[in-house]
Amino acid sequence: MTTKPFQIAVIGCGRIAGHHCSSIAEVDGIELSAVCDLVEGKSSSYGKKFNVPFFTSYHQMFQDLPQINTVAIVTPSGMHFEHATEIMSRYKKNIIVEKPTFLKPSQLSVAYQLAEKEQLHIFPVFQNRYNRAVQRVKNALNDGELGAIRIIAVRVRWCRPQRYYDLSPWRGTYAQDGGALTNQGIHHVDLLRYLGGDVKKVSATMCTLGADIEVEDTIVATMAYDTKAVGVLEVTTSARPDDFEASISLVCEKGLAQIGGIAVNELQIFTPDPAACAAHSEDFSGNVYGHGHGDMYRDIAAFLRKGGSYPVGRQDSLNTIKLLHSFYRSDEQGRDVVVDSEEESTRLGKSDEKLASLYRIHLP
Amino acid sequence: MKSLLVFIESTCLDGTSMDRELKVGIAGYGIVGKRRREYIDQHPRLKTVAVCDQSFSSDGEFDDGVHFYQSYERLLSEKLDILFVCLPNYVAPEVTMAGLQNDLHVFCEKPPGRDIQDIANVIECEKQHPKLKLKYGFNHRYHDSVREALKLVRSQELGKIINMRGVYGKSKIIPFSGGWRAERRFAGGGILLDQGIHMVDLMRLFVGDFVKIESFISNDYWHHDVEDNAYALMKGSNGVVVMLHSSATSWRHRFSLDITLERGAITLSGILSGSKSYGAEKMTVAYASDDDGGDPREITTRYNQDNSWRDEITDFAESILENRPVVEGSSSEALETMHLVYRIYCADHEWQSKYKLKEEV
Repeated sequence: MTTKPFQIAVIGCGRIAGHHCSSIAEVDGIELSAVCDLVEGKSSSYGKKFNVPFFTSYHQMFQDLPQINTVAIVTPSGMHFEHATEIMSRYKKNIIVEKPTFLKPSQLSVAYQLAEKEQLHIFPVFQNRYNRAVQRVKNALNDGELGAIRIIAVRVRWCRPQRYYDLSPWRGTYAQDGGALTNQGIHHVDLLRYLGGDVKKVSATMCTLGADIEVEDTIVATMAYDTKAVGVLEVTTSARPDDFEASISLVCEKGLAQIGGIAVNELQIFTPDPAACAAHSEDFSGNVYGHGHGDMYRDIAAFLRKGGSYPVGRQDSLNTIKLLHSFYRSDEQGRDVVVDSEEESTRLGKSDEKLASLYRIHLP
Repeated sequence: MKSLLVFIESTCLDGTSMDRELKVGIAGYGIVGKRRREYIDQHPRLKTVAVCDQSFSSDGEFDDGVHFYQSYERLLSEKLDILFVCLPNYVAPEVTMAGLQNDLHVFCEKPPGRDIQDIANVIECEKQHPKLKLKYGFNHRYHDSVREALKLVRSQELGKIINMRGVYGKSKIIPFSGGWRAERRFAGGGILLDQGIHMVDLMRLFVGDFVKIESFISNDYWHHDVEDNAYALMKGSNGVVVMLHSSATSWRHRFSLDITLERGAITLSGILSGSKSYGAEKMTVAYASDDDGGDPREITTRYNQDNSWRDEITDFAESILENRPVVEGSSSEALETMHLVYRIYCADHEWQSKYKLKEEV
């Protein structure tokens, strides 16, 4: 019988992997069992830091440690689908998938169908939903404290110069990364839905202004919600010389709420109760990822041990990826597009075998 | 950080601090209501202050200071924070909605009403009161044997579920108090809605959605206008096949749930209840191997304490005090389980047409 903690492995040992490892370590009922990266120096670094076995192939990892129950996939965005489907079908493990869950809505549907068939579970990561500022505004919207939403505005003005995109081959590509909206703006795209409900129509213009890359580093867009609300979005990584702003603000029937900070961690304006700003802001200095991953792992541990439901379900994550694609589709077609559509962007998540082969882990 | 957050957000609807004992009223003070009170009063932050039951001959006060009333309307005139609804199916939705309309958090026993329309009405009312918590009493999810089995299934140690077989039975429909359970106009359904709903809920917990259902529903033995036996064969969207038998002609009270997986099996037998008549609560896990000759290694765990009532109430209290969503027994979960019960009824076309049942609102 299983009385031991659920064993969790992390694959992909980039910057955010350490945050997953430390979040797993702080939650009761789950345990970090191994880390894996194609580059031995990266996996050994986390392996030694967290005192767990490290691997350069997950095939070897699952062979040596069959007790692993769940795998956090923290590999390049374009590899999430391939890694997730292989790990579920070949090794029968639950998966936790970093943002963006998958680069295409169709990939998400296939992955969930596979999980259902194999009786496995997919846990998408949207850690900013747990931020206290976000929760305060969400509660105020649910409770009627803010009234109906009239306008939602997202503004992300960050600086990612050429050297950032030159760090790895996958960065700045449609096949593996997506541009400013997919990589940097995805949490705000998710919050557009999480706070405002589903978006009906989108009109977007994308361009590349500050770096020599394939993908957009700038997008401006307008949105119409299923309700009467409208929205405006501006996301860029072409701001210079520094990161300036990443905010989401809501003009509502009974007041204004604005969340900012480096990772939607500061409640900057909340007119129904100005004192709530200090009480619901968190200090994320030194840790841009905040505390949400710990809360997410607590939800995963509770789900595995006691039942209930993980807060981000299939339809929820599908709708966020559909919304993401609608911005690209609108730019491609030069017109308004309806978000709830089977159509997909022709660019985001396109196939590039040469690039994928750099991150593919072959069977021994 | 967490405790600070809890303190800040623990405020009542009127803005006063909730850092005090929460006052509980219990509507329906029969066997279940009294049992609920026992666990409510064990909780450090909850206190029963008033109850109501139609069996009281007058309004008054018990020796311990708790007020009692003949009607729920007078119970609701008390200053309360939480209402527990332990009433028959035909009044439970009405009183649940009255609780919400009086700005009370509500815990309502299963089933959520007589039919899907009943729970749909409550959900509409709940939407008008988003600050309030509403939880339904599906306490079997909180039994230790069920929790351990779920944990084992989710560990994938024994592979995927292939099939499940669940039997839940008692000896008659009319139990200890009153005859409302045997009349369709009061109960809405028979043994499946009253007791089998717990098994249906567990099957949803372990399997998920069902895409195909065949059933036989019968009242041939007791001849009430509600069923005394329900037999169902269901297929999950993940291919798992489930057999269900809910019975009121089971002369020995019985609870058993067999879960067959790819590399073993889990058998839950017996469940601890107030009457202790369902046998010792046990979980037997069989670990299949190629050379066991059909006689696999087994480990049996016997659970000698029923923590389900305490844990369920603790969970409800925490959702109020920490202002977090109700997960187990939420109204949407209750609606899904009720929907599955009615799909089982309607899969027997003769039964469906005889009583003009609807599986949708």
